[in-house]
Amino acid sequence: MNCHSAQRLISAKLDGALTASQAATVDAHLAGCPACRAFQEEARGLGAALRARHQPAGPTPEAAWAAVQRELRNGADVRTPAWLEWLQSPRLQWAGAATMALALVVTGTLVWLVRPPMAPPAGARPTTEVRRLTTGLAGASTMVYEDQASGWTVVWVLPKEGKKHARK
Amino acid sequence: MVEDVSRWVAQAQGGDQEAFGELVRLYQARVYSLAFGMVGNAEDAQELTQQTWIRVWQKLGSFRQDARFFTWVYRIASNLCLDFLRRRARVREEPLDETREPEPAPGEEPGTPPQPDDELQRREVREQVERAMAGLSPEHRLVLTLREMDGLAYEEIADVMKCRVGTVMSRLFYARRRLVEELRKQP
Repeated sequence: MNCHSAQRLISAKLDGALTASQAATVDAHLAGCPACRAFQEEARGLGAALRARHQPAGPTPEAAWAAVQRELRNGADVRTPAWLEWLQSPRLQWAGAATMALALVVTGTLVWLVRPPMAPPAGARPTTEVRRLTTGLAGASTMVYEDQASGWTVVWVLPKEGKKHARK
Repeated sequence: MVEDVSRWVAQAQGGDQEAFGELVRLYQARVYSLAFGMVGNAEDAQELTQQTWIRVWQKLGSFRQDARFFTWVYRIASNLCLDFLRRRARVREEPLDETREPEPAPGEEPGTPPQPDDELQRREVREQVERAMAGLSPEHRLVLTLREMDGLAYEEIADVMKCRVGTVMSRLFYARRRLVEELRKQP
């Protein structure tokens, strides 16, 4: 067990959340690890240190309730209807977003499936087909581009390092 | 007591403000303590506590009796405190509250003249803890406050923070480790 895993368990051990076997594993690690023993001591003292923070007394319950009543009288007495709370719940908002995303995907798919077949542009020539291309460049990739207007066919050869060569 | 709380909640849901007052009186100190643990000063803690109760009243319609009322209230208070700390962190570029003077202890005026050594030492320790807590993220502060100051069980913390028990365990570990590191940095 490394120190990170051990300290996770030490933290849980301080809360009494370990099984007997987990506690024994941690104790075995602690016996041979001064760093984790130091962490345990320091972490153990945190609770007392936090509770020792001085907390000034807040308002008495009566004073607190009187202040809340004043706020309610001054216009805060507006209750959110339960159905609106339900609609505003994060879970429902996520569900709404997921439904919207799904609806978009379904609509997009349907539009794609029922689209009219694409006709070739008027006057278009058959496209160039490159059957074999020798570049002499290991790992190179190629791209063929046919320009209808000029009648040029351009073959791009992209070597592995990104240098471009164009040939007619 | 549990029956009383359920009855008061049901009555308050029906618009009974006196029943709601009973709930405020019952949990006020705990909500204030949570807010103070999070923000570290009395004025903001008091303001956040009041906001919590107003929010609780406004949202009572959505509370279901099968949940525990106080963890539901804690969740509202926690969210308000987290929002407050995040807003404050955005406003200030520097770490939270680093320059703020700690609250004076009872009977102790700000800028108190020399005190006995042990009291001085206690005050120094308190200041160190305040500064170290200020270096933690709002979520780490929350999990430590709920566990170490309020003594909530993992399941209750998970309920308040709306996460799994395993996540609570993990957050507590990281929060403790971070606080230990922050305390080691203190002079």
